[in-house]
Amino acid sequence: MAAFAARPGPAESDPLGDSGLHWFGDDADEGGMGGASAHSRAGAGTVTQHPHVFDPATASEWEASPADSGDVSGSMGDWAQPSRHPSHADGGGGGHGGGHGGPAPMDWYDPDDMENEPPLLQELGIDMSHIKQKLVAIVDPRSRVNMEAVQDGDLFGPILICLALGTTLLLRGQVHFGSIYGFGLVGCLGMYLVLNLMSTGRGIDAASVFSVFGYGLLPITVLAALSVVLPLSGALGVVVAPVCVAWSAWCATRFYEAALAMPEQRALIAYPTVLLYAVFALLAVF
Amino acid sequence: MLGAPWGSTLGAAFGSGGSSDTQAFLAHTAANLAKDQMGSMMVRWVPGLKALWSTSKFYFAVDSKYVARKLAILAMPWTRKDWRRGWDTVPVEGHPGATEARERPPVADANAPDLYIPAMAFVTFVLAIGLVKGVAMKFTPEVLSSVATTCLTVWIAETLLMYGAVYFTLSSTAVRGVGFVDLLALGGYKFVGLVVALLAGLAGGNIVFFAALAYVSASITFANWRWLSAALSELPIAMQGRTKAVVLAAAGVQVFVMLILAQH
Repeated sequence: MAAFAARPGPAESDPLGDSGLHWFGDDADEGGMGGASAHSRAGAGTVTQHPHVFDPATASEWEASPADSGDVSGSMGDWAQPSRHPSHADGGGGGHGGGHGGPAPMDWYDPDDMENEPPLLQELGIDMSHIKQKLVAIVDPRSRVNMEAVQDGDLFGPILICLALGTTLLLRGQVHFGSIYGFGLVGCLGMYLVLNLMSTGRGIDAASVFSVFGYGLLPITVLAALSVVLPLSGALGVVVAPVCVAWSAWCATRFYEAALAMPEQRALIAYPTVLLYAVFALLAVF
Repeated sequence: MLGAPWGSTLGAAFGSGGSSDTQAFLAHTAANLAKDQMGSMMVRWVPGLKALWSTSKFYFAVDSKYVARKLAILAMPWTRKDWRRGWDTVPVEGHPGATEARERPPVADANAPDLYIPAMAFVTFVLAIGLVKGVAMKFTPEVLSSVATTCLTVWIAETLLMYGAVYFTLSSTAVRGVGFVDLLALGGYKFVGLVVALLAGLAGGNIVFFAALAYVSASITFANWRWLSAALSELPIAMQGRTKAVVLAAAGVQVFVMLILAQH
């Protein structure tokens, strides 16, 4: 750092007003010292970093632009780059964390860099657009199953729906969270065993079973919500409850079928699904 | 041809002969057991799991046609003539030229016992009890679990009794004709009838319920009698008859016991 200060400063001739950082035109040795001092100067905000030194402190602002990794000992055209970095950093940090559509690649994020952390959902790997896609697929029984959504097999959506079901039952004054979890787990375990024992092709893994089951619970949650306002123990329940169970089972069967690739055993897959959702329908109605 | 360890387990159990149905099923299943995810972690740590899994797969090898045929048999058993299980002659693994007889899986033989129908019928029965209780406004989630536990215990105890009866009154070779799981399956078929009787009773009232109950008890007793006779048919006739009578009377009674339990 002392060496730098001792340099004949080109500051007065520097068109961008850099304070004494004179990389370009110097020999490559300056790169190392430039990096060392750039670290302490990161807070200054004018020029962030020497291109050759990967400085973790400011890596998030560094959107690996190809031109930067090129040589610095040379063209005066590089003067344009330092000015690009601050704006690029702001744009890059903001846009990257903005949650656009699909899951972004997990870049190297500095845990201490509070301003440029990715949003929590992205960090957890929860993809809200996929969840929304799957929920829409459930609500519309005629839509085709998106295989990619099935493969995603995320567990956050199902957990949300289970909690929603429990909350809806709370509205009726019945605290049945434990039963929901218990029946859900036992039911999923049974479903996993039955599906894998029956399948002559590839099996299905437990996370996918739970994921599909959880999404299929949405119509049952609708049933529970209806039961809050309407008396479903009588004739109305005889009509509405089987419709909701059939709806749930239809969606889940489509997903399981897609995952297992066994279309000729659709009825055999559908029946355990019907049983499983009928358990929850009993909870919801009675 | 079946190089993977589980592939050879299944291959040893079933071989590669038999009808085209069986053959297709066996080849497909055996080849895919090698990729079965059960092999990943638990198999290494739980001894015997491989054999248990392949045995269980045998009893769950069903398709819709089999289920339809089986339910038809249970509904009207007196119309059926042939109750014997099918057998295939398969080459013995490791002894070229020698053959042995293996039973056909359910997908290829309507007389073969399976565990899919009993398991589904059991769960349906528990749910039907829940429905009955719900209509009577006596439903809590605990009802489901308590009924399930009770019925499962009675089912297993009854199977143990039947197995013991066969084992102690007949020779030990007899039990190879009717293994424990086969008896479990035979005992499980009565849940199908119980569900029908319960739903009939729900719709029609007490008289309809008891009439339906009488009908399904008779039909399941008859069907089990026929199946057991066919399975034990190599033995001296006298011993057969006595044992089977005892065993099946027990099965018929079970039906009543279950229902009385479950209604309260």
